[in-house]
Amino acid sequence: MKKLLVAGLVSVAACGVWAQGSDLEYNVGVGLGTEIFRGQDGLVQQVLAATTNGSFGNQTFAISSGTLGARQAETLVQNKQLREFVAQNMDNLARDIASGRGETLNAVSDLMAVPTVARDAYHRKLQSSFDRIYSSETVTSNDVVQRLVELRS
Amino acid sequence: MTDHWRSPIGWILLAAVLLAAAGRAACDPDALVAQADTLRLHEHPYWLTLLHCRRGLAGPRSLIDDPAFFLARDGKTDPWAEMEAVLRAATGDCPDERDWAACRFPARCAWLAERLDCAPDCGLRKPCPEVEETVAALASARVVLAFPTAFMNNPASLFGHTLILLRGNGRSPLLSPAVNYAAQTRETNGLVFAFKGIFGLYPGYYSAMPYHQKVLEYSDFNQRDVWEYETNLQPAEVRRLVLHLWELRNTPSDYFFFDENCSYNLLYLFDAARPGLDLAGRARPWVIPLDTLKLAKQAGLLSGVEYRPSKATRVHHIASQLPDGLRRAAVTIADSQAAPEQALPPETAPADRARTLDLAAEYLQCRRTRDELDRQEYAKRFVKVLSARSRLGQPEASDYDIPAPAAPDRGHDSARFSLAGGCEDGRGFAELTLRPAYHDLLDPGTGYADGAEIRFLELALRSYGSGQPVEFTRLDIVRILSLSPRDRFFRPLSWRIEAGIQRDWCGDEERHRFFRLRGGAGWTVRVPVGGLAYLTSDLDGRVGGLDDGMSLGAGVLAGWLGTGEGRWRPHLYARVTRYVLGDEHDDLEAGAALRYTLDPDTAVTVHVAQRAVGDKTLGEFRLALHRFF
Repeated sequence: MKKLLVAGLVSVAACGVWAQGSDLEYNVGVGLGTEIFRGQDGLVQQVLAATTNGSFGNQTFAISSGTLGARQAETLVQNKQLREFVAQNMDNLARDIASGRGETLNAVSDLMAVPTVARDAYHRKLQSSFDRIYSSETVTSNDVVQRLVELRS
Repeated sequence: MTDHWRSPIGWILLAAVLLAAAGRAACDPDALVAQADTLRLHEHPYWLTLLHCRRGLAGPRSLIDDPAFFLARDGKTDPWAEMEAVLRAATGDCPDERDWAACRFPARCAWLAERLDCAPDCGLRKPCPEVEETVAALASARVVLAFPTAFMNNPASLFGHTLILLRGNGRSPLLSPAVNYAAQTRETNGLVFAFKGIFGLYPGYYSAMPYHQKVLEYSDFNQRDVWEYETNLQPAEVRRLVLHLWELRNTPSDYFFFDENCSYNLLYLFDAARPGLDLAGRARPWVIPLDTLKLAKQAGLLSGVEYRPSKATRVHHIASQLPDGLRRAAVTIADSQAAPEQALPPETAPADRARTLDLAAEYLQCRRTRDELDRQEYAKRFVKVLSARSRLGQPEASDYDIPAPAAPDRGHDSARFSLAGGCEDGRGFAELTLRPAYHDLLDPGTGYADGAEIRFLELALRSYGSGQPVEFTRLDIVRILSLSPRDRFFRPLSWRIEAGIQRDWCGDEERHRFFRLRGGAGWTVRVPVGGLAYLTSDLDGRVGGLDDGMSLGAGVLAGWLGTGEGRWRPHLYARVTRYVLGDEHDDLEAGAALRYTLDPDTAVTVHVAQRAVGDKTLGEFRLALHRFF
């Protein structure tokens, strides 16, 4: 994969305390969002949310979307940014796929470099394949990515 | 003079001068240092901005506390020493040091190179590959100032927050990096946090993360709407912003809740982007996120605004499009194990079926974030509802276009000055009130959260006529009230707390000055006639000034607050408090208030009340003019 461009800009203060999150396994199921923020409700959430900063060493802008389309589906499944985004937005993505549109779904299509003209058809196809993508409530984010890519072809 | 510049001869002369200058251009450290000294560049406002330097009585001093942010040993207090050190490092004999300086301080080097005669191959102009790669990736970004609104249940977020988004063209906003300045701590005790925050005991860091993580936090978990203000920063300005941000990576500076906070520190990024802007220099000694927004607006930096409703707002909006029967059905579907279709009446139109299931799914998510459902149970129900939903087609695009309320920049300014005249127990008085922040129930509501009141350091002084000394009547150190209406989907608690010094009526039928800590909790509902009705407990502890030295009371407070839209807003209330310890007496009060908004920053209120304190009854009347600034 192309070298990450903004590692410095986007990865946060590397103070050791927050670093434990960087080992987070990205293959998670529905309901994950709440796990990220668990224990952070209440008084100092805004501040504590800073602790999630280090959790996802990230590379937004790292991959120019133009180069993605030419790649093998296999590579797309391996795409770290796509996998992380799906993992972190499992619930909202499921909701968007069920209704066939939405901002989270658009972001996924951006990451998969689905051309604008092909999006509506792709999103409808995902919607009608909902039961296949989310075959049970224990489906994981890697399964979802795999099926998104399969349905793309 | 003007004619001179218009003539070709003028231009030729200018070109000749420039050529001569270029001829002298070099990369000799001593010559560059001498030239910088002659031009007094270290006193230039932009250099001070890059160093986050403020001029104090003891001379300039940077707000950044990390020595690594400075090359010179005394760079924090000596802008000249820092300039000389950067110049010498970037142009010196040692190639490694030159490369290091270019990569560590790209904004400083770029600005000095612009200002000084230095050769094109001079170290000062040498690009750092790592930096250039980042800048190239972000150069076409549009810079957005995001303002998540107040989060009443968190003292750290009462005033909202500000962060900067670097939005890529043609990409989902969710994927853009969000730049944030925040204190880093694992403190979970709100009081400890408040104390340390106020006195600068936490390190603050600039950090960046994908915006979708912040959206999850604000929209889904905190239920805060977010306003996204687009700025008109041009690519060259964005470049300067990114260069400066690069210098600030991993650099801590002490976080002060009131002044050197999230909002104040973001101002430096704008100042670095657009030379001459100096928003940080124009800020008040205390900085509230809303003020940041207004400063940016006044400086002509903002060009448009978008509204990002929270999940709670979405739930309310979808619910508002359904008849009550289907709203009930949505709750039933979310709460039951049965197949979703069974809860829908057979005659329901397809579009309404889709909406009901959308509502059920969003509601399930809200319940999960409140931890009312365990993860497995939630996942099972959520997937089942969505599976049914996926067979009902796409919603109309317009279905979920949620109308935006008035944007916060259109609201009143954050500080208030009031003049009032009135009488209390038959004595006339004039009263002057000053409040640095922020908003109360009867202030003009445009752009503010409805039913939320936050007052900080509100001071009231009274005069009872000439010859009488001015009375220190009241100082509200902090006074917070949160009236959050309960409905089918959300059941929040309303609460209030106030701490301050006040002169007020006591059981001996006299007015005494005492310290007071008062609070309560209860419920609020929307009422059919409009507005909010509330009922809360009232617990009041008083210390000092009384015969008994202290007093403790308990009671109830109920009221009705009219709708906030429009110029008029009425408020009716009644309170019964019994003081059972110390100064024992009963205190009953009933009152009515009415506000009229003249313009966004000016309002008039009239307030009448009848009170019974112990055996004494007294009337109060007050007419006040409020001006925000």
